[in-house]
Amino acid sequence: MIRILPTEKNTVFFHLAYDEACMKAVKEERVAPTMRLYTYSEPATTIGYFQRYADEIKENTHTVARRIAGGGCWKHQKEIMYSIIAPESYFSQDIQKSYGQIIKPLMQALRKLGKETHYTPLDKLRLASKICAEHAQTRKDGILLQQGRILLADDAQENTDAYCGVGSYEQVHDAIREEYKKAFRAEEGTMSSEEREHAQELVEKYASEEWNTFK
Amino acid sequence: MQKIQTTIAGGKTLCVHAEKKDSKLEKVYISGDFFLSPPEGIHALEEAIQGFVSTDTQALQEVLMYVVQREDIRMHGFDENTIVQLIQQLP
Repeated sequence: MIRILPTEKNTVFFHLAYDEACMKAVKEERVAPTMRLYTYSEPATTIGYFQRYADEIKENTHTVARRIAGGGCWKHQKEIMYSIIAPESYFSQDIQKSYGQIIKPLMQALRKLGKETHYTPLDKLRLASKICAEHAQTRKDGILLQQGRILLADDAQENTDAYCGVGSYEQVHDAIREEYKKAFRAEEGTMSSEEREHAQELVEKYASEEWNTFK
Repeated sequence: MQKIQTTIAGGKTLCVHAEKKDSKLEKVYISGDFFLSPPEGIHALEEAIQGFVSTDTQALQEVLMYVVQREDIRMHGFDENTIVQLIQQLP
């Protein structure tokens, strides 16, 4: 059984911290595998685990945080984020296939909104030639974490030559949540108090210069 | 610090930054937007090749392969040989 959490708006540090706390809780079988949608309470930039801070962050105008997953530099504006945390055995051992499995319900949801997207490995979803969603995955101690962002249509910052949005928050959020709930047979759940407390402890790490500039 | 990079599968970037002293690798960083798990495996790879002669491809391949197996590292779109090839191209 996969639980789907209520959509929550919070800081980028909390959301990154929560995913790490949830990975530990899933590993220790204290909570069910988890799917959640969320938003950031302020504009932020996140960089992939392996990226060099100095190469990616030229102007420090937004909050910056390093993800535990790899992938590229994401300048978050108006978008919906998702995370899926589950034992690796829930998905293909093949990295690319597992990305595809997790992205498929998203494509189906967008199709219902009249947006015919296509997946370009490893981690991009495109509407025509433009990127409308990006994803990053990591695996640790047998637990898979995939984080992704879906760009919204009213995001003028992202409606550039390379990026485009796919709809309003309400449209996209409701369609995606419904489709993932169906595809994963997910049941409504909540964040446990232990997970939230652990996440709050980890917030300091994700906000620290030591973590964000270690490379 | 010298830097060399290449584009791997899916348009991802793999970059090696290194300082050399008397042909030996001193500080080494591997960066990019690629997939590698577990994430901490990257630090084991970086540490393993420090002190090696940058042109000794066989020794570099062997030690990286050893670390990949020991840490159960999985990479997508590149492998330890790609890293060694990049090191050979360092100025």
